[in-house]
Amino acid sequence: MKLINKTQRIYLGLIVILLLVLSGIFLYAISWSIQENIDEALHSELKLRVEQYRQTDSLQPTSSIHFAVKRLPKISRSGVTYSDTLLYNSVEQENFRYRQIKKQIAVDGVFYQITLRRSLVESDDLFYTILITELIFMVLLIAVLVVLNRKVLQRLWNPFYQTLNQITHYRIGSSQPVNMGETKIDEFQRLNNVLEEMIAQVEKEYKSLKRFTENASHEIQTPLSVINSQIEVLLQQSDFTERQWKSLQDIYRSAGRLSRLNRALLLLTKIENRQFTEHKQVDISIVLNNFLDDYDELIKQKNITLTKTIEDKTIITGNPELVELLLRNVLSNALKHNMNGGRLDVCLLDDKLHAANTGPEPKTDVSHYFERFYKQDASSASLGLGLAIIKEICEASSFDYSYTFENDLHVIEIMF
Amino acid sequence: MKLLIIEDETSLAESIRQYLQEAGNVCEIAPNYNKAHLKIHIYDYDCILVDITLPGGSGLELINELKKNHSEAGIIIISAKDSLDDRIKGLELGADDYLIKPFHLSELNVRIKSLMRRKQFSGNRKTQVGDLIILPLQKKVLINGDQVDLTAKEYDILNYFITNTNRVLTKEAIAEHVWGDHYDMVDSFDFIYVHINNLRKKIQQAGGDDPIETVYGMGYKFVER
Repeated sequence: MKLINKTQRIYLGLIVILLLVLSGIFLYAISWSIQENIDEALHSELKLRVEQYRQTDSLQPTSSIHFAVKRLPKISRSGVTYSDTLLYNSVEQENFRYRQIKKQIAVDGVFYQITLRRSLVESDDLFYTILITELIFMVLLIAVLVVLNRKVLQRLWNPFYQTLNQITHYRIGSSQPVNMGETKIDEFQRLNNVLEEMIAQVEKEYKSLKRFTENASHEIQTPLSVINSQIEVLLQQSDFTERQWKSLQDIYRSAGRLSRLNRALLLLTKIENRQFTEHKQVDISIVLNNFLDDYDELIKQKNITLTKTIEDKTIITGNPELVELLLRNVLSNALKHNMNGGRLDVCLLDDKLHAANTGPEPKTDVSHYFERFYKQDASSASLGLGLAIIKEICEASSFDYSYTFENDLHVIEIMF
Repeated sequence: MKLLIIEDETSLAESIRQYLQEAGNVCEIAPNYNKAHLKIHIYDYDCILVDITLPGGSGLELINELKKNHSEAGIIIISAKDSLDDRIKGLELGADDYLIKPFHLSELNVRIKSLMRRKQFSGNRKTQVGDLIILPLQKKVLINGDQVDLTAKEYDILNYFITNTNRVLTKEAIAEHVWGDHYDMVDSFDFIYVHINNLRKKIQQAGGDDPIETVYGMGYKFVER
């Protein structure tokens, strides 16, 4: 859940609870106060009347809404009692609420009960008016708070979101200077400073790593070039014995292998180090079709049945060099380990590449295939790096990949 | 043809010189920036091979200089750096080709020849080797006046042979020439074998003598008949 929303939720929850509790107390106090008011008025009136009767000696049994006198056989209760009661009003034809006060007195040896009543209708109305006003007030308060709160939070957290945005778009080695911006909030300023430092450090290390891999490659290739070229010069002399030729051949082949190995390993390292950062739109259907054309004669020569379903204009985002390498490796893997008269299915649909080929049955779990240097046939001339390269490229480019063996077919699938 | 080899690795420079001199070229070597700088200002060359990483300066600066002086020499960069960026940079500066070390000397030879052909429009409209006549601009091959029907790859291989006449060419070299850097990705050696056989058959069918000799299982040699 987003920070602002969570903050608001908690805040609002607390405020609502608080408001409810306080309003409850407030309304109760009002209601109590109103009642107290009426009760005091009733009490005052009662005292007045009782005084009157004591002085004038005139007390007649009567019964009306506001004033009732009843004769009692005896005094059963002392003191004054307050209570609420409902009385039916025949004109309005409904019941109304009244507050009444009762007192039992003795006048000249005769016992009476005096009841005084006041209508609660007005005070009830007053109470409900207060209640509704209170509710509206609460709702408005909460609404305004929500809006203000949200705005304030957004303003305050803005630098944070800017920083977050910058980091999200940061790519190592893209050589774009990163400026996290200035902010007055201490914590965010500190965050920005730390991040800028960290990025500077990372960039430095990355550059030196890049330089290292490039220099290492150069250093290794140079003596290899010497070996290769000297052998080629040697080859031109025709006065060798067969055994000498064989030795030369072995040296030549091994040097060639070393060379390819070095290049492939270097490539893997570069991919791992995310040195291929430039991303572009690539139409892989074109690349695939070109490769299949390239390999056309080879496919015919090996009598391989090719079935291709390639959706035109399949455009994905990736590093062009890597994508090309990936496709080439997938195809060459499918061809190299294929048998004469075998088959190759290439299907590109919905940004998914499906390449299936016939080939020798796997001796181990196919997940091993992606390990570097893993070769089913240890003596073959292949480097065993093809699938490792595929794996690295996919992981660096966030493509999903899988390799399965089903229905006697080796199947590679890549989801772009 | 007069060539300048700017390369600090003496052994490599020497083997290049040896290979090219055998074909009748004149080669000079400059092992560092200063000597190279001197030579390009004093002499004219038909073709210059430049290694980018040189003691005393960068090969790219030398290319810059050559271009500033409106030199008409063909420039081929030889470098151990295998990145697309370096290739693009080199070619943008004005180099005509970019070869990655290690390379086959025969491949270098072919690149030089085709560069020269591009530069000297007038020359080499027709090459004759033995009873084979090659018209490079139309990519046609004639034997005794009859055209030989070759596929694109077969023509490529034949051209490669002819450019390196009387040299032993390994299967690897041929495969790399035809497929590029990724020749090891497919069974190119069988492929080469089949194509060379086809070439031989076609030449013989057209009345020519088989000009390709197999050398000790390591490779082939094109011999002028």
